[in-house]
This record gives sequence, C-alpha cells and structure tokens, in this order.
Amino acid sequence: MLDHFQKAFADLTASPGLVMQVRENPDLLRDRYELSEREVRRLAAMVNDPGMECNCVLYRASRITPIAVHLPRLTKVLAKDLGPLLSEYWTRYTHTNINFLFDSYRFCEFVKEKIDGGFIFSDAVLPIVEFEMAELFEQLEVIDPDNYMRGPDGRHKICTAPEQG
Amino acid sequence: MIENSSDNYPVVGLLYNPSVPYILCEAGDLVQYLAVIPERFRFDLDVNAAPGKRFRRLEEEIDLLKRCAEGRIVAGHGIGLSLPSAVPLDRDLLDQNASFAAELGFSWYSEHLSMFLMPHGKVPNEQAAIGLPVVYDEESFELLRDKLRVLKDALGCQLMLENGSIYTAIPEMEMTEPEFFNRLYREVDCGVLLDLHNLYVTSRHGNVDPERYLRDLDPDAVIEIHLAGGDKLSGYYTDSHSRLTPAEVWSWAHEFVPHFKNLRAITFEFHESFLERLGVSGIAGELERMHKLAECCSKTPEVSYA
Repeated sequence: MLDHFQKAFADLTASPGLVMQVRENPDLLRDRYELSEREVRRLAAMVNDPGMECNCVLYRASRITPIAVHLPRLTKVLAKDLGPLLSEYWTRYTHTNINFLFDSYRFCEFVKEKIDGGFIFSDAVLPIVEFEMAELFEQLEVIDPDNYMRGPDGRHKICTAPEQG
Repeated sequence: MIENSSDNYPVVGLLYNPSVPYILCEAGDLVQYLAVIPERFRFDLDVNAAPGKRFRRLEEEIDLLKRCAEGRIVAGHGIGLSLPSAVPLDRDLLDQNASFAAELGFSWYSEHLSMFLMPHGKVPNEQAAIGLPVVYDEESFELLRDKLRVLKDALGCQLMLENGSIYTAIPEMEMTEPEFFNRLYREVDCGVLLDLHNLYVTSRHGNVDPERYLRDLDPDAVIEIHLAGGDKLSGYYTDSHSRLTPAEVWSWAHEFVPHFKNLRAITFEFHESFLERLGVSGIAGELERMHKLAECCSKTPEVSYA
C-alpha cells in the first residue's frame, strides 16, 4: 500500500536506529506496516543503500538548523548534551513545523522540563534557555496577537498538545 | 537592461529570499523574473484551527515583495502541498496559495515531485523534514493527476512539478522519472520544472545517468529550469543552494536547454545565508551567464540534437 510505504520510508529517514534494525531483520517491515512483497523488497534494498545514511543525515540537519538559528546561545551552552537531547526530543516530537519559531520554542520547553525533572546541566543553561525563550515568546506574540496558539495556562499549544493518534 | 527581454526568449531571474531586495538594488537590471515561495509569507499556526484563524500573513514582507515585483514576471514555487503524498490535498493551504497567486499575479505555479508530508502521521501536518523520492507507478500517477486537476481549477495558470534530489533510488519502478514526467505533461498538461542541479546531485549519488535522463525527457514539457550549487555534508554532496552552478551543470544547460522550445524562465537559487560567500558580484556574474544561455533559446528553435 502506497501510504504505508511512504510512512515506512519517512520513519526510516527519521531513525538511523530503525534502519539498522531493518538491515538486520527485514521482516520487521511486515510487522510494522501493510506492504506488498515488492514494497518490502524496495525498502529492504534501500536501507542497505549508502544513500539512506545521507537521507538520515539530511533529516537531522533539516531539524537542527532552525534550532541553531533561533537558539544560538542555548545550543552552544548545551555543548556535549545537545546531541543526545536532540535525539530524545525528535523521538518524542516526530512532527516538525515549517514555522521554525514553534519548533524552537517547543525545544526550550523540552529543555526546561528536563531541568525541572532533575537532569543536571551546566549552571549556565537555565538562565540562557529562559532568556532565549523570552525572545522567542516576543516574536510569537507578534505573529499570534490574538493568542490563538496559547492555552488557558498561557503555554503555547504546540508545546502542550498531546500528539494526536 | 539586458537585451533578451523579448517574448521569444525565456526570462532570467532568482528564487526570492530576504536578501533578494538587496541584489535588486545592486543588479536589478539583470533580474526579469522572481520565483516566490508563498509559504515564506505567512505563518501556518495550526491545521486544525477554526476558519480564518489558521494563517497569519506577513504584511511587511508582502509589501516589500510587491515593490520588488514591479515590472517583473512573478510565479509561485510552493513547498507545502506535498502532492505525491498519499494524504488528502490540503484545501485550506491551496486556497491560501490561490489567493496569493491572484494578489501577486503569478504567471505560473510549481510544486515538487517529492514527498514532504507523510501519511499516518500522528498530527495532520507531520513532515518528512526532507523531500523524499516518489514511486513512479500507476497509483502515484493517478494520485497526482487528480490533485493536479484540483490545483489547475484553483490557480488557473500553467502548473509544473520539479524533479528532486534523490539520495536513495527506489528499486523496481514501473516508470523512469522522465517517463513519469512525460505522461504528466501529455495527460494532465503539467509541465516540468527541470532543476539541473538536483539532477547533478542525483547523478553524484549514482542514481541516474544524467545525459540519458535529459535525452528521455520530452523537451516540450520543460517550462522552467533551476540552476544552483551545493556543498558536501558529512561526505555527501547536497543541494544546499550555497555556491554558484557547477561547470558540469552549465555544460548540460548549453547542450540541452536550447531544445526546450516552451521554456519560459531560467532561475538561480541561492540561500540567503550564503549571500556573503557568493557576493553580489558573484550572483550578478551568474545572472549574466544565464542571459547568455537564454539568448541560445527561442520558442521556435532550429537546432537539433547532435
């Protein structure tokens, strides 16, 4: 089925780990998706193509660029914690948003949640995330003057809405 | 002003970005045409929003674009509809683009022959983050055909689809990409926006024989071409719009473009973050080369393949 094939392809692009799993066990594709035998053969060949790694690299580059642009201080101060944090963030929020401000703001919320949950960062992280979050908030106020995107608690919906099934 | 602004030749221009107004101040005479991404002129707040609440227009940016567009041909180059995806057409987004097309006076409108949206996403607008290749078979053709007919009705202008950069070829296809494009042209009147740099990227990854591709493509179907340059990322050559057009791409352009008798535009794409690297003089030099290429084209060419 074309829709399942496209979903599987996109999932693989977003997850180098899934690529590795399917290389080891192509039957995983049948377990997760409704695919024809030809679609299974296609995907099984594609995960072993060197270009699949490039797709994964570009996926990560496409998602990190807006965060690096909008949160230059935070991405710098997170240093070695940035890579693992982004991987966890992208696993939790698989959907992106073409309006990069939202994704950047949501990443700030994610970092703050980690701090509130007891994750230990450098002492510089909290003031910087709050500073850059406030800057983003001002920009979001400009594009959303009716506060359409803010929930009753004042938080932006993109940060608080559960992923829809 | 460059001489070849006649109706007999394709126009030369740029994909609009926030640095283009500056280019126009310095080298405006070289730019006859602007390709415009409608999605860069609004925020899409929430696909589930109540009517009238979903989009926020960026009025200052639109006013600046309108000033830049004065005396120039303008066309739309959408990135949001993801036509090959097996998801329903986003009718609200299409209506926004149609309204913008009427406001700006788009002469034609293009989208991509790539999948940006994924079906079965947990939210309606889940994005693949990069443009992924399409299965060239009957099912994809019918999906696209039906959506393109809706677009045609909404936009009322010539439509085109652009070839993407392909890093992982999909095996066991029923049609090649040129065959797929040729059918779209014959049966749906959808033209080709031939991105020669995307073809270069795809060939660098071993996924196409570019000369064969260009011979197989119906030359009448090509309405616009894109030129650009790229860089390596983690060892992979990509379409990053970060450099001037590579020599090999120019070579293909001079060999094949004169045969595209319906060609209306030659467009250079660069990302605004690379303006300093490229320099205004570098971009102006590229535009001058594009004008020389345009002079080799006419709508009734008498040249033939070697």
